[in-house]
Amino acid sequence: MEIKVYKEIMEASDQIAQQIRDLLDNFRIFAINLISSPGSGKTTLLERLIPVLEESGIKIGVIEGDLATSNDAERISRLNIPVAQINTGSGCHLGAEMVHQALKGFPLAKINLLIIENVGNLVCPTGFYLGENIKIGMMSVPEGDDKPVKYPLLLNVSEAIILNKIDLIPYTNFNKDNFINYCKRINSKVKIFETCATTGEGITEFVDWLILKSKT
Amino acid sequence: MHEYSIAKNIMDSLTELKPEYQDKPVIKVTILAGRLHRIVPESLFFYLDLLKKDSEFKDTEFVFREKDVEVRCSTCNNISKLADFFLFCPLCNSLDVRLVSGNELVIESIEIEEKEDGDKSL
Repeated sequence: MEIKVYKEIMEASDQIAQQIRDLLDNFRIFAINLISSPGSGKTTLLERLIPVLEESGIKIGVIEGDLATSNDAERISRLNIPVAQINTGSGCHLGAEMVHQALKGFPLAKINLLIIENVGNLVCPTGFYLGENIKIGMMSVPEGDDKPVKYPLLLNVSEAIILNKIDLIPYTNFNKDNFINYCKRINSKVKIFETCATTGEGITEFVDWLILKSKT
Repeated sequence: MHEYSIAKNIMDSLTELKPEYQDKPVIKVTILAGRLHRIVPESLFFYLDLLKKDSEFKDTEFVFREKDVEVRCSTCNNISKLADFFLFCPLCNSLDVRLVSGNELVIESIEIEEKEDGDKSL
């Protein structure tokens, strides 16, 4: 006998993510899920971003997702902010249950912005809700201007896209207009920020937007 | 590679569903996924086979069905099927569209073994 059930496959995972959301709401914490390919500059961006945000009175905590090593967490902890490292082993994305576990013992009362730096991957992390308020995608110039169309899922779920390493544009065949058009064709509402995390270019514009977003 | 997580969640969902059907053997499970999830069926089946072999679902057949991406245009009010991920209206080119289907990820149906008293057939 065949029975129609229509059971959401990610229900259990989404329930844990909702527990994270409720926990963060209790502490009035805004959370972002930062997704990019490996080497696009997520950790360098955070190193630039965090001091500017802290100067604006925002207290930040970071969850670092990587397949292996605690290198990124060590870099971020030098900024004297709470950080937790999750090593996923062979897992290609952070799961809600991993983040839920990492938040146990995390000093939530001392932060009002949680940045979840996902495992470097443009596909898998897009499909998993971790209790964040927004997803932000990041792409960099050396990856090529066609990345938005090659990885449209990221565009579909992101409120903003950070285009990093813009200082390299003169040395590549990267066409910024193409990049922006591709982004807008997939998600007409997406905000696009142009940054160079190593020099700090474009960071202020992104910070202003993020602060505004976290208050709405 | 996200197929592993999806396969794991399918197995967990089935375990959760079983008591609703008096723990009867599950013969077949149909999974319905919108094309936006970009699931690679071969990869999903690989992980399902791996996960089911030591479980109570080792004899369960899994069927995978994909659903097209469709949008409703807020400008011309038509529903269109999209061939790719550019979410726009192919009829009037408006970007003001809402997703109608393509984002589903559900166990659509399960087939359970019905055993009448004294009846050994499936």
